[in-house]
Amino acid sequence: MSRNYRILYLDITISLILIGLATAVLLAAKEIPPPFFDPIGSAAFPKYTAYLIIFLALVIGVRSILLSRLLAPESKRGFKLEPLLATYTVGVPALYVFSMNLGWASFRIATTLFIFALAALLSRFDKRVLIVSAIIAPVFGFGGQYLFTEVFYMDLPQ
Amino acid sequence: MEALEALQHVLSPYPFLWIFVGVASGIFVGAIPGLGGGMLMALTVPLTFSMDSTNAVLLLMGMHVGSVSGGLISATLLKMPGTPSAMMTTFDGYPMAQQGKPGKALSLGVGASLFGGVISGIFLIALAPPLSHFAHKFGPWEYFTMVLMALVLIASISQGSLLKGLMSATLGLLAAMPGLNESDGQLRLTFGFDSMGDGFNLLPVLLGIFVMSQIIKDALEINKKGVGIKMGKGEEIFPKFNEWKQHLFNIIRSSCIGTWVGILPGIGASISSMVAYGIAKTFSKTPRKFGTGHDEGIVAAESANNANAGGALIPLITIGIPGAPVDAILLGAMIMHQIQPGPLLFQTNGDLVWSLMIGYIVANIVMFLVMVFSARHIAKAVNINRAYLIPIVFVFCLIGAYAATNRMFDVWVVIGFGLVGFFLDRARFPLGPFVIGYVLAGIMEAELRSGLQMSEGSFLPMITRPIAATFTIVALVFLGYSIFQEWRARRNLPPPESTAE
Repeated sequence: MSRNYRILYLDITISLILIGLATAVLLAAKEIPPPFFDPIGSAAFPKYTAYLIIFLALVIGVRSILLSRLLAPESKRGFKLEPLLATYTVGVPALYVFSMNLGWASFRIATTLFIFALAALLSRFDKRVLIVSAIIAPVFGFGGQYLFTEVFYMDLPQ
Repeated sequence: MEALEALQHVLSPYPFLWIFVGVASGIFVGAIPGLGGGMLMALTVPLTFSMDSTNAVLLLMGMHVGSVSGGLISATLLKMPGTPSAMMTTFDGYPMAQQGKPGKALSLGVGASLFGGVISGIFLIALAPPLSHFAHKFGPWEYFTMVLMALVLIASISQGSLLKGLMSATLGLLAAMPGLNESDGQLRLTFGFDSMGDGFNLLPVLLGIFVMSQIIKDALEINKKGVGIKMGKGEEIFPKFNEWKQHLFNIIRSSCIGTWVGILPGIGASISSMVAYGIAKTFSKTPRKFGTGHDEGIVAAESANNANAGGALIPLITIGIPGAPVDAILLGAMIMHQIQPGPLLFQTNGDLVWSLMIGYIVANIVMFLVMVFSARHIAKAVNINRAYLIPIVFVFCLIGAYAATNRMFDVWVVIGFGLVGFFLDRARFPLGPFVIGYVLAGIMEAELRSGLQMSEGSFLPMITRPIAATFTIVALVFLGYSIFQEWRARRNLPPPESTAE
């Protein structure tokens, strides 16, 4: 049985990313003016939070490497993970938001296309899902536009 | 007197309708694995902008109560908890259902949930007013050390390592810092982007962490399915009083545990049910039956997780600190409705507070009735295809994030924090501390800076003022104890087996 190195790699990757983020915060905090009315000013909290993140990230990363020999075997899940579908769940919504942000499509059209497209991808183009989502998509797109703007008085991207 | 007036108000048509809608939708969503009360509440907050504040809070509170109980349905019939708080219920609920008694399992769970909720409601009404009065003595150092204690508590008690819990809490603090600092009006950490002038708003962050990260995870685990058990036509869910007499002590004990764990800031229902289950097993005459479909296991878990909801309202109402991560959404909703939870809440919005407390008990009774009469029907809908749900849920996220400020930036914040929450969860960083850290960062910094102004830069009041010193000591004790527990656990690990790699 193989050890669960996935957690080790994730811990090290996240530690490195967090150290980078904290460094960026420290650089940005240098531009905050010094305190005027109170002893610590606006820069102190971000600075000390960043120092704490760097400290914890180093400890987590180093500990993961030192304790890698104690990693438990990867437990059996009983089902297959679908990273490609997870990627679609980020990519397709991003495209949906982008299209409205740039004014390519209104909420009604973009939502109808989005719901149909993502449902089709997540179901791997299952015929039943395609038929049902072809009905649901315009209901949410056009019906949702009416419901949220005329009944709940909320603004939507136009 | 206020209680009777509140009862009269809560039972009037509109407030009661919102409680009913909240509980029913909470039960339905809570029963579907992969969704949850937090998600439903976060998505509903923007819809409450045009509502009366009291009705909005009753609706959201009803959703919370309903979703905690709804998780029982899928935990019992699918061996998949609809909400994390129902995890312990799967240990005995599903085996009992497998033995041909799903109705009995649900009946025990529903009844225990009712008792747990009502008992914690009584504690809520009894403790909140005096605690609120006591909290008037809090100054900046008391608030700062209490928030510090809350963060350490949730980091040390959350599942996963203490280090990762502390990191998660610290990241939550950092996420709240960009934008305009309220203490002195200073813009910071905007990295040159105009959109960052307002920082990351509360609702998009909550939608990202609670909703977006969950739907990414649901897509990743789309093949995960529970092994379903169907209920027979003649099976009743209505609990019989004779079956309940023997469980009375377990119910009261587990409800007290759930309530008191809920009072500890930042600790959620899943911890309550775990503690109550463990104690019920320890003191049971038949501990070996736990995990095989034992009545006592279901009763302990369900009483505690429902009681936790009432207990968690106590610090939220009296000091303005969420008792559980999901209560951060309730806190956010109150702030958006211009209501500031804290010691002055009884004076500024006394009607709302009493309506919330009485409404909580009414919501538990409504939950019981809805579950008894509709659980079997809800069970049929539990296996909705994720391919339909995921896109629809994201559309609601977009609407919710956009509606508050009319900025697409907030929608991008939802996606961004969704990715952050997803990867943190995959790396086993608990998300509860992140949410609590984010919500409490503003109070923590503001109170620290006020305190330092008063003490002329000295940190000594953290240990010289009695209440502040108590919170500081509790935080240090929990930190030390958690470090000791982790060290002992690693020491007791078996040597690694040699593997063929």
